[in-house]
Amino acid sequence: MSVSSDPRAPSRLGAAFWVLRQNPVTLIALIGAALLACVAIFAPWIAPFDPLQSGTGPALSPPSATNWAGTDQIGRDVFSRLIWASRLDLTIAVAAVAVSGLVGSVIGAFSGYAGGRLDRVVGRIVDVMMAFPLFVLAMALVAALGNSAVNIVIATAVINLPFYIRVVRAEVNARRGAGWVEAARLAGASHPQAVLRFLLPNVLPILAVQLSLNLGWAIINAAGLSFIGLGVQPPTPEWGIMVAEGATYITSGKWWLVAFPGLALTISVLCFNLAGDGLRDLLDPRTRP
Amino acid sequence: MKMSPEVQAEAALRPILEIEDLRIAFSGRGGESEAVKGVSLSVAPGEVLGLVGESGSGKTVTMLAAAGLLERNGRIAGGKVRIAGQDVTRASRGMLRPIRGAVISMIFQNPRAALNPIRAVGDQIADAIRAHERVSKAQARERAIALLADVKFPRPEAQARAYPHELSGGMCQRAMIAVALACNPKLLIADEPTTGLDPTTQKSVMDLLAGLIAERGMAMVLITHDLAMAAEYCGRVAVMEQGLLVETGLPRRIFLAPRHPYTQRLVAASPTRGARIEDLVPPGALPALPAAPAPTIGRPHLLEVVGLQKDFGNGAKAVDGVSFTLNAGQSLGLVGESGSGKSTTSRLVCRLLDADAGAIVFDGQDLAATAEKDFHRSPRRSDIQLVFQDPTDSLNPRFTARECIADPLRRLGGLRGRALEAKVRETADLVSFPQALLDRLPHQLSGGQKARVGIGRAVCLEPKLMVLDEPTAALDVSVQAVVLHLLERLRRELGMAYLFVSHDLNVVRMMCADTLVMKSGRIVEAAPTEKLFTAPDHPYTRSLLAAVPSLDALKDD
Repeated sequence: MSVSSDPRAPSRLGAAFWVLRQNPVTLIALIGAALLACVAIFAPWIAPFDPLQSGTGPALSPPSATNWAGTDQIGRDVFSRLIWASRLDLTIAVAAVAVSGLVGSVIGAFSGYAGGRLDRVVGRIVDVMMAFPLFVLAMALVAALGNSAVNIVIATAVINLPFYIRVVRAEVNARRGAGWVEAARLAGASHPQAVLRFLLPNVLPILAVQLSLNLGWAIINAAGLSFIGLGVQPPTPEWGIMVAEGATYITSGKWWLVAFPGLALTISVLCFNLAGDGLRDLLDPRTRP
Repeated sequence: MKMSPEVQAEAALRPILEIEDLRIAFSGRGGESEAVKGVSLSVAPGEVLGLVGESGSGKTVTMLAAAGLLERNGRIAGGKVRIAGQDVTRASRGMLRPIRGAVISMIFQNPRAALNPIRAVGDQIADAIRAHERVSKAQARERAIALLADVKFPRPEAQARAYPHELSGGMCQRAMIAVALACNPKLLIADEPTTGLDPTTQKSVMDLLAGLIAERGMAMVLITHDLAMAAEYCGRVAVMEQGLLVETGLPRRIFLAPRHPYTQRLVAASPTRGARIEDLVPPGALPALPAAPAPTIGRPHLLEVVGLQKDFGNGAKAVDGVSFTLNAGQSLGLVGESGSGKSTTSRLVCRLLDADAGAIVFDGQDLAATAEKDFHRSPRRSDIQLVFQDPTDSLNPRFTARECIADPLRRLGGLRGRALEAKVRETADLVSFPQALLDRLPHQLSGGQKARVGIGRAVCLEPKLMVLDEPTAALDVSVQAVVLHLLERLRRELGMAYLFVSHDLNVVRMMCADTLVMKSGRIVEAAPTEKLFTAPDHPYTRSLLAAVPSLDALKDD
């Protein structure tokens, strides 16, 4: 038995820096995600114009010193609209992922822990959900519930549920026989406590990857629904609507109407996906030195 | 690469493996550290060398480096490795390819992990042959079947088509041996080849391996932590400690008259016949054991198990009518091979599983009447605790040592705040766990430290009955000695009763007054431990005893 000369346990923060130094892509992705969040939070101060104000420049003018990303068909500033749209899109994505992550992981954890009949029933329901084309399912949900941001959140949450249930179910199932779960029971924890206090925190690192990946998908999903005219309606600034509106002008060479919202979507999805992989390393206690 | 006959003749005389002042360094977060600090050894053709030492001694790393299989973060920092006279210290993969398999070959600890799960074992052997020799598929297949017959597969033709998951652990290791022998290597490195196998399987695999090596005139390096096994199968033994070779010699000399202090400690820590717990640790190293409490014969039993049954619905019953009694403060051994139902029995007694039938009368109360899912609320929960086999697997990876010990105290003891902290510290002292390490996570602790946390968590509530499920199976002998000493001290100090589940008969012999032998869910023999060891009744008990390697054999010669 060896006792190291330094009895202090290494700090969590120090370990995080170590992981990030090994993995610069994660660092860039995390900075990107943080910047996106800042843009959304401080949109009113960053955006040079009101997103709904027309005549900020000549209609359909290309990027210029006043209108950094050009103007649209009624002279609204595309850059300001992009900034404001990030607010709505990120909120929808975060809310949807939070709801489906929370509900899905609890369902998955209990299903994986209990096994048996509950597990089989949950498994079949998930199979049925996944048999639907998910985007079509989301469309149907929004069409049935009505056009609103809240309903987009619900629809996006529902179509993401199966992924959480599956991931958490599998991870909990693999760990439910571990000694430390039995130890928790010996220490007086009930089955639900063993699931919620012991097993779920241990699958968190794996969940973080899924959460971050889904954040990207949820953004695409929300934008996609708006693009086809469901969910958020014009003139609300939203990336999907902006792409839809700009698409009619692309043949006449007005590229900036589509390119900038498209770029915003691409960058945000990329940032969240790359950050997900890195998060797993950061959250896993075993990566701490 | 072909060798001329002259070179071959010369090679037959010189050592097959020569390691000269080998240094191996690993790069990690804290910079580079040396795992092997100048080791020299050689293996002559036909020789069986035992490389013994505890985990972290560098024995495996030394041999991996010799075979050119170091991981990417490791490098040979100095010294030389010669295989059959050829310097391979800085050899490239291309140079090593013909040597690996044809001259030097390796088998590993976990055969299931070393075999390809999606390829039949016969094909895997044939692959190994075809990787080194230009033979047709049919010829390779024929030789593969012959090899399977050599490693005593009962139906080699049919079993060549078996996948690893269809074979038992022992059969997988035999298949692995066949793969390793496929190209008639001159040297086989066997890294803990029987760890994790049952004693009887262990013996049959080792006997087979030793026979094949002798038959083919091969040399072998047997890496093991089990001194008794090294004594039984090796012609020469080398002892490693912290990257250094401390002693080399004949097994008799090493184990009966060890010269180096480390070897002396290691030999002393290995349980032998007639040894007491006190003898395992150097005198004065640990506080003396308190006197054993007087036996409590005549008083009502602390635990009375009657007709316990459990069926998992997969054919045979896991536990099939088990009955036994245990008195307060006494220690009862429960031995048997994997699948005998001893682990299930311990889980039933701990009320982690519901029995199908039977009674568990504890202190006059039938615990089996309370469902397992409600037992956490029973006032008896804190009276029965369990110490797990694998200290790593039994600690929550996200809990610090402090949280591990505090969890039962908070839930069952109702302690909070300062009282909780005080009790955690008191428990740490009780199990000799340094308080300074309480904030560490399990992966930052050594095996022995983790074992102490696991024991501390179980004893902090001062249970009346502790079920010990192979508590030292995953530990090195010297750590095992200290942990056994600790367990014995705690039993005497706190007056706990132990149900000691183990497959290590040498340990049970020291720790338990009475012993139960389990096979296929039934108790086949129950007797006072000394009687069980000296005059076993049941043939199964006899076969178990015969399979256990022991240093005693050296003394008897």
